[in-house]
Amino acid sequence: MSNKYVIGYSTTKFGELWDYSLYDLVQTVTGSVLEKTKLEAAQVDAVFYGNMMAGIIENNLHSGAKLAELLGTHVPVYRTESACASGGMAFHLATMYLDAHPDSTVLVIGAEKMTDVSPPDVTSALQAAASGEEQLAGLTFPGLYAMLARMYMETYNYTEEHLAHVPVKNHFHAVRNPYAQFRREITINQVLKSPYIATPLKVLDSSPISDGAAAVLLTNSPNIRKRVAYSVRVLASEVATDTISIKHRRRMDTLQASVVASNKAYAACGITAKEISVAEVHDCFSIAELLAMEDLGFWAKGEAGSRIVTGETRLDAGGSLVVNASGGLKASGHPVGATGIKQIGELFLQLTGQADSRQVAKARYGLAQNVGGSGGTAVVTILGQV
Amino acid sequence: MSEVREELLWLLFLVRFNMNNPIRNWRRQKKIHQFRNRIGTVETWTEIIAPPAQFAGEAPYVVALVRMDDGGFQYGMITDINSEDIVKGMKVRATVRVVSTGAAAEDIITYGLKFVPVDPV
Repeated sequence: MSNKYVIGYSTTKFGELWDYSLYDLVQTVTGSVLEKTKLEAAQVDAVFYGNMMAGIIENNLHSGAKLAELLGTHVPVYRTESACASGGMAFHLATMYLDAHPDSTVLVIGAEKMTDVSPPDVTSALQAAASGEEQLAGLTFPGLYAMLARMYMETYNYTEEHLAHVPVKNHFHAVRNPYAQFRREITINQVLKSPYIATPLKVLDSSPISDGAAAVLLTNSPNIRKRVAYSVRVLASEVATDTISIKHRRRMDTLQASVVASNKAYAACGITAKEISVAEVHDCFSIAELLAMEDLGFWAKGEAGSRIVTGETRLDAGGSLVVNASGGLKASGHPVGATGIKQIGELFLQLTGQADSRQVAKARYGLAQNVGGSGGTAVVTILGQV
Repeated sequence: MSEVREELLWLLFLVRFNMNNPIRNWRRQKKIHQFRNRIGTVETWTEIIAPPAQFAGEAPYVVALVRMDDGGFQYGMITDINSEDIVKGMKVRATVRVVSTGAAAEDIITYGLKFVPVDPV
């Protein structure tokens, strides 16, 4: 069994954080997670940093050296870029580092600064994660997911109202998360009446443009683990990829990278989807949560549109699985490099009983699914209180 | 003065984001003409209301994923038709059209694949 543990988590609030630069956000979560675990920067053996867009919109690269300057350290700092899965990929590589380095502790940070430029400019920068042909055709990420949504709705006879249940649930959860970007409930009617951004997806089907950072500490050191108040075992961390263009995929009612990564993760730790009681899935758009629920094995193919309507994955439903208790990307916010770390941090809070008013009762196993682009990369992480 | 400044900022943006790079355009556009006049079927589509910066002047526009009769899929805007008349399964023909003209008067013109209905609607 894995000897790797998440021992601490910190996040900034997600949203329009105009007073903070990218590295202000990084410094905030770094200082906070070290303080919470009562560790010193000198006890960190390596740093992994997930960020997608600073090189494009801020002309800001060589982040390893910048982080070394902030931390006052000479340890290796590795930056990962896998579009919106940059954070999950940083976590995955950190687990591999621990596999190769016994008795080590690593800091994993995800951060993104998106609100310093206009929405069309952020849309252009995000487009960098799409194929050249998709960019040339004027396809945005909302547009790519909108095409998947139309395909799914037509194949399984669902409507825009079925999709609308995803953001309504996730906003309900975000009210209970003090770090969420949108802490207010919304109704099905409000979702349906919100303006389209790429038909059939509307503004309230879509995750927002956000600033934010999140950090976790990971260790395989028995001595460090003994010193901290909370720890959760990393049971599996798996990555899978797929074509960058959706036009080259065999099916468009699934993100095959999520299927492959989750199957590998379940096999790696001997846990089944039925044993997961809390999941953070990549709901960048409402359709993405429906696809995730099927791709991760929680629901059968074509079933998600009808199951989401029952509300069974809401915190107050008393079901066996709660999905996106943090508010998900939709309501908690989606600073793309930070999202994968926030998802894992939310599982850490849930599995250690620190999630306060959004605590999932008797949570033992948690799963996070972090997706890059339109499904070209998927990272699936399973944590357990064992 | 402010208009000139805005135009300069936009050009700076294009250079930084490499959106309208002539060499890149030249390389891509060599491949586009082989698809001209080929027929396909609309598999799925979306109308983009919130465009990226370089397509701001085009919005709203429809982009489809088209299953080509001679194999494979292609993306392209659908033109010469109202968006409410577009349906899955409709036959379209590939054509080469301007997809982006850039912001400045003498900016390079980007050509790309678009689709028009085979049967008049």
